[in-house]
Amino acid sequence: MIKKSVITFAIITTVYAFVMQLWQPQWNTAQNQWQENVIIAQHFLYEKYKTVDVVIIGSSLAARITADSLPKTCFNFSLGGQSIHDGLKVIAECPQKPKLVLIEMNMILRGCDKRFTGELFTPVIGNLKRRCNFLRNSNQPIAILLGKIKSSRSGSSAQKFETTVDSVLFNKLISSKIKEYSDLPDSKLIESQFKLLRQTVDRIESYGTAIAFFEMPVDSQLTYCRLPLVIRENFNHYFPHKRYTYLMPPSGFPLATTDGQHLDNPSARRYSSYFVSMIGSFNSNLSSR
Amino acid sequence: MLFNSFQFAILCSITFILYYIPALRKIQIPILIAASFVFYAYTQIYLLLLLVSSILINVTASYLVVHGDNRFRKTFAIVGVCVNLGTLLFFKYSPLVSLTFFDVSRGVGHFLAQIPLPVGISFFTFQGISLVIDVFREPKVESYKSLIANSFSRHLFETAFFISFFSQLVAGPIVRAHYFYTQIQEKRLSGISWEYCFRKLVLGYFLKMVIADNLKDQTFWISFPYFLSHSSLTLITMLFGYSCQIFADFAGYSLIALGLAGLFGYCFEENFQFPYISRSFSEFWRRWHISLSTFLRQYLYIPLGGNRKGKVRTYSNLMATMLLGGLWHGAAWSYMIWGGAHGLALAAERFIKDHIRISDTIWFSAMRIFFVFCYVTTAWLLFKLPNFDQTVQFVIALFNNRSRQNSYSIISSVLLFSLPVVAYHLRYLISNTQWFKLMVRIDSIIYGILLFLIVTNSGIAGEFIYFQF
Repeated sequence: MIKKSVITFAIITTVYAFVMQLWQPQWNTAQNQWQENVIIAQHFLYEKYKTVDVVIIGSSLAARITADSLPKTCFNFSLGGQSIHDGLKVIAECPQKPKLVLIEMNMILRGCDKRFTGELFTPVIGNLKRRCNFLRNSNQPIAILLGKIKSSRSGSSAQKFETTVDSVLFNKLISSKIKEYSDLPDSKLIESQFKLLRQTVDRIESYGTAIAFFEMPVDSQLTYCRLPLVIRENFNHYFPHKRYTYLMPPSGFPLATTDGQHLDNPSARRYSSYFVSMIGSFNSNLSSR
Repeated sequence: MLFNSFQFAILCSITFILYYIPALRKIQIPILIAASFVFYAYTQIYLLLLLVSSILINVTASYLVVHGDNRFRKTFAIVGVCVNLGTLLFFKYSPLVSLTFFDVSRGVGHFLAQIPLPVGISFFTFQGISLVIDVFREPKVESYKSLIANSFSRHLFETAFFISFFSQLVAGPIVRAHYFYTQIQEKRLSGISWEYCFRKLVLGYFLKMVIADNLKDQTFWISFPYFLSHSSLTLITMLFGYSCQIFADFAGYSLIALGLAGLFGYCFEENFQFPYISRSFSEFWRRWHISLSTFLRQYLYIPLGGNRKGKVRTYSNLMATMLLGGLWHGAAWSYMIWGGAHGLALAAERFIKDHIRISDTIWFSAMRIFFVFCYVTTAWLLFKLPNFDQTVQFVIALFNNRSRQNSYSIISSVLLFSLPVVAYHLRYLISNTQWFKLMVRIDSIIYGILLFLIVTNSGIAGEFIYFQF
């Protein structure tokens, strides 16, 4: 029975590997946010890193910057539900570093996800996935099937984010966010996260990569709460304004969010245009140095 | 260390090779003990102190019960059980006590809130209790006499092995002493039941890595405040998915534990027997986490009087057992409520059985299976949302969010990944039919497909849910 099972496994796997070499699904196969993050990371780590000069590192907030607004040499490596430290770890391990890394400030306090980095950098399995594309998370058989079902239902990525918000729900969410933003976490956590960021930035800068920071706009009721104020102070302390460029949200810019934090679709588009113009001028300053 | 980690694969391979080298046959037990210590200490080495302390407590108490002064047998047994329980209470329930009775930001409350929860403590302390009580009962039960070796050093090694064996150390099954000690002897490679181990390991890893690890990323949205924005249909589907996830996670782990133990020549009892086809709550507890329900029955329910002290006492014994059983699962009052919900169901069921004749038709049995499944699934909500207030909000959202847009992405993922759990239970239901014989013929193809999916379709590794208990 064992022999027959192993032979069955070998045959199915060989056929599948062969099919995946010849054909790639043309639809999004991510079944959930975390898998999408791993797929994005693997895509960047195994292929995309060779062709990008500018990388955006952020959370689900920065993931709202629409990909079709960005130039081809710019890659949005924002990971929903995860920390900037996860994205920076990938950059640090990349064989070729980008010229510019833009780091989101908002979710600095979120810790690393060891499962994520474990999924990417596990010895043997990580290397196998690099070499054998049929083992990558984007090519999981059930994921391909579910992705096909999804793609036949959903629209373009422009409709990915909500445009209408239930006001009752919004009020509940913003109330809980105001409470969260008004409470300060342990000062040791803040210190450790900024020190970790400092170390990672130093490591990436040692390869000649320029670093800049940006703050994603959130609901005006949250912008000046205690938490973001403390975060800005700490950024200035660890990464002084005189040495680093900061792309701050435009003031008086009409923006709306779905939950207090995440931009809705029209706002995401408007902000993306603004963001692209900002990094364009920053990038040209960088090139002229 | 997770069973599906690269580090564990290395540890297990090295241990397996050393274990079966003929020249090292005499030190098979120390090899497994060493491997188990490495397994437990891998992420937090200081926890090894706790494990070693637990071993020493149980070795000493059990040895003194059997070979110590006969006048103090009961005292040694009581002390042994109390120290085990005290350790469990201190490490597991201090944060709960702090939260309930003290100010967590300062003083005693702050100190208690900082006490770490060692992985597996609920399991290995229960095994220690089982050992001490079993040997205390020694004069009454003939088979228990041989549990404790005359030599203290031999007893030390055997007990260290019993408590720390990595296969069941951190999430069970809770192995009872009289079942395990009788198996301790030299093992040979030729004694391995390869097909048994292969089936257990493949099915276990499939349930854990493909089903549970994929479902967890869909049922994540049951958490607060995310569930507020999902439709009723999406919420019900996610709840169903969570029920399948928790089964796949725990049953998967137990199957892996059985398979691993088998590789080293040890046999554990099944911990899950198709629980979601139970027609009653008492049947559910004879099929779900069998080792725990057996432990609670033998060491709590029966000593309290069981059903031998009249009806009212029976109901209260059921409630007490399930309330404590619920609290064993986690240091939060919601777990006690969960246990209470099951205790209430068991008591109500017993009352109904005593007073009403229950029909045995297929349709009525199907309705009963459905009802028990729905009740159990709803109760699992208390595991996912330990904050009771959030649980209530979830139930309200279940009724109020009918007009919200369904998330077909989540629904289709949950249904597809839950299908194998449904199929697993259906296979049991058809086990006396021709269809089953047909399925058995293609078992090797099924297991080949399972292996393929383990390699190509595993979810992002998550911890076993029961690690937190």
